[in-house]
Amino acid sequence: MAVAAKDLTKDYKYGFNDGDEFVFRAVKGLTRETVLDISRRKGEPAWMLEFRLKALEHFRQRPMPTWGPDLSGIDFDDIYYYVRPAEEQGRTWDDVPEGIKRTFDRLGIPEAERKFLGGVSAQYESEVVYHSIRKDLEKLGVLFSDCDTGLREHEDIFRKYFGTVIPANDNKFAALNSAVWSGGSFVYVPKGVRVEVPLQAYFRINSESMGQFERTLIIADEGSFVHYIEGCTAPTYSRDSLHSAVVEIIAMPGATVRYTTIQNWSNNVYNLVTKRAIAKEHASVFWIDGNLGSKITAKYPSVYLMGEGAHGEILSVAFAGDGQHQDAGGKVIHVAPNTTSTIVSKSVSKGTGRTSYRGHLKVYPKAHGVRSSVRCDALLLDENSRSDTYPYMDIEAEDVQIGHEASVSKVGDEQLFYLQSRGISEADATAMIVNGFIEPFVKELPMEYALELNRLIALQMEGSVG
Amino acid sequence: MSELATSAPALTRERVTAAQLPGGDPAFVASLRQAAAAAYREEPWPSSTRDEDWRRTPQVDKLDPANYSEPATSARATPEFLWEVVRGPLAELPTSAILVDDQTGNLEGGDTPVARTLAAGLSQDAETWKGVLGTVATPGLRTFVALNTARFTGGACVRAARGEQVAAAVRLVHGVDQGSAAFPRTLVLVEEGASLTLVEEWVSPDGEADLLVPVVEVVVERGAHLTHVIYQRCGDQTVVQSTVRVRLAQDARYDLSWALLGGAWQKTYFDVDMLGYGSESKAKGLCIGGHQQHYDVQTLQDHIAGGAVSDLLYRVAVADRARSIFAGLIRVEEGAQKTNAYVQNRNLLLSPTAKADSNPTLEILANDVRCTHGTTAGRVDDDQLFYCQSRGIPEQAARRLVVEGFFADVIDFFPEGPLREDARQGVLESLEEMVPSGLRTVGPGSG
Repeated sequence: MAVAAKDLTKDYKYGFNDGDEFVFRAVKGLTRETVLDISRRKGEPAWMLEFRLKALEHFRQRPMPTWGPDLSGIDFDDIYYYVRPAEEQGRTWDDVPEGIKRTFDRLGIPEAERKFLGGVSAQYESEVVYHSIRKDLEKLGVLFSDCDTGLREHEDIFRKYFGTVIPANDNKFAALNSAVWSGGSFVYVPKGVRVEVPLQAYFRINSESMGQFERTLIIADEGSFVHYIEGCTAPTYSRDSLHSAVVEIIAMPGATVRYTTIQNWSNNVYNLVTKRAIAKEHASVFWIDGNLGSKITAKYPSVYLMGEGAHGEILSVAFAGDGQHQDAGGKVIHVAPNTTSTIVSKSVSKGTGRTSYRGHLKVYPKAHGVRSSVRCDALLLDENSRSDTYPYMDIEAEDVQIGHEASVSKVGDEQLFYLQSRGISEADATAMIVNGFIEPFVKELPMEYALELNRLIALQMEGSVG
Repeated sequence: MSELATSAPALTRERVTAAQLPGGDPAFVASLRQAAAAAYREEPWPSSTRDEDWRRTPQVDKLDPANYSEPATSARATPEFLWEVVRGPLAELPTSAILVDDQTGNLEGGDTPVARTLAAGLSQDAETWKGVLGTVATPGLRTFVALNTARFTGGACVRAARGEQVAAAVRLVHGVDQGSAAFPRTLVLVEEGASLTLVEEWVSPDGEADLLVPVVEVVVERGAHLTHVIYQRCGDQTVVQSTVRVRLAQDARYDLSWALLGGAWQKTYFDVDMLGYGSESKAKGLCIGGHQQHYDVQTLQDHIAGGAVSDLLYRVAVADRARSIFAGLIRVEEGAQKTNAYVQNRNLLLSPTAKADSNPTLEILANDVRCTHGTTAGRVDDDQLFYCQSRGIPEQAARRLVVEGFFADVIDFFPEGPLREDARQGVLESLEEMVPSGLRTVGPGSG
């Protein structure tokens, strides 16, 4: 195991750690006092405290899930549930404390902002430390802030939607997040406004045994458009950290929301995330979901197609190296008639890595005219690699067209032979084939992310042959 | 109810004991049964909230044998409905043996080296059957395998000796009637290089709430070949829990054609263990459901050895309020390189209230493999209907043609001759009986 850990640090560019700097850290473990304390420090309204305490009860009552990846390594008593790294949130980059700024400089955050983003939010441990949004977007009434600020400054909108897509008792980890949530993004796009440049958030865990529980709420009002991008990293420690986010998206009639995330946690993070979107009449929701990092990921972005003509699309790619288990997938629930959906999943397992596609497609009886296609492809690079496919399909309507196909194979000998006959080394040829395999995913990403992803894949692929 | 029902002890789970073959159990059977009965008493009853297998089939209590009477154990005249089956469409099939099993333990029909009653086979040839009974379907595997092992009385031992090419088919007719619960056991052994065709029919009369729990254990040895045909034509109130488990040695071949055409409510397991390098399994099944029928079929292709090929196709048409559930797992164990495995499930929904759940899954622990699955669900294709109608075929007939065509590749997999004809006839009759409303009502163009 020691060797494996060393290998990971070698490959993982973001595995640096900047020393723990914080102004407040709650005691380890989860008690009623922890929740009271978080709420008091945030100066929240009473309804939110009540919501948190109810959620804590749900969390305690719920058993650990018996399906899916092995979560027995999580010790809920050995986790810091709240770490506040700075007193104030920075409005300009200079306001951010030096140590934290150094971290994000190394991650390239302000650089990214200068290039093409409409707004940036950076979360360090439990709190958002830096936040900015372009002036023109602000003038159009676009709200982009951290979730705490959203609650404080726009309580009317916030309260109307918060917890409506993913209730606190949805599952054990959603309940945990609901009890101790802190940070995350709040986005509101007014009617008819098209945010042509992406909004970006960046999440960083820096402390050992830290739990990050950000909460994101995106509301796209009628006919609007928004693209939200999220990235995440953590240093490599010997003790595991826990990331358990909740993301709720509401796409009002005719709105379009794209949500892109490249999850690149270090290989000692349990990443257990609940992501769900509601799409109303003729709204579209796109989840573009990349899973490269973490020790164990359990993440199944879902779309509830509630309004006639709504459309959902989930495009996901997972890469599991040694010791990793990517249990990812997607769910689409067709509630309304004439709704359409597509799920495309691409996964690659290398070394002792394991990828699982776990999906759910449901068509309710009244949902006539539904069309859906689910396609899962897996590549296995080594003898010890493992891949699973569990696509549940419940069809209760008759006038539907549902198709599902899955395939698992290794890198094709003929493809390898062809490339090698052109003078390309086996290693390069393999990497090239893997890149080609995930191409449908990569082309959906903004340029910078596509380049970054290719680089990460190249790193993951190192030493995969011979 | 007849006096059978009142005189028989209840098959309550806590009280279930080991039954005995007519003429007594050989020692190895008795000890296997004791363990199975204990396992059945102690194992928790399947639960739709706890067991993934049963999640979509919550009415497990329909399968509780305590709700049925025990089958008659003493001699009685084999009921007429079984003879009717024997004299039915398959009468023309050239057979080497026909065995009629009404659960009394006596099989009507020949006692040949190829086909014997379970009692005769197990006592006369214990050494051979010791290697089959309870080794392919181990009692601990599932609750209902344990139950069958504890309670079987009827059934057969079918064997093709080493190198023997048995040209004529062996035909087994298993029946249940009079509101009883029956546990037939079929043991099949195709020895090295041999070949055999086995036709099984599971039948019961209409209008009786019977329970049929058959377990079929199949061993195909090196280079041998079994052609297996199963027709299920149970009565409209019969509940079925069936298990077919197959073990294939090196270069063994197994072909299964399966027609599920009757019964009220069903949970079926079909597992094939690809234990030998180069073994090959092809299974093609069809199911037609109407009224409130419930068919839950779960399959496993377990690739333990490499270089094996498995292919499974399951076609379903559901009408009225019928429901189909399919779960098909391809599992490739560590080291089973050069595996080629495929599962396909096609569902045709013939009414707005019919339901089809499909859950093909893959668990792959080797890398040099090709494993795929596909599933579809939809109604009769408007384009196909339009095409037929544009050629002057009335809509009603066109719709029927399309539905028949949907099953063509499964029907064509049945061995040529009476078996295939019977499958085709069975499909037509079922469509006639189950689907007429479905065939009339659907489609915007039909009004």
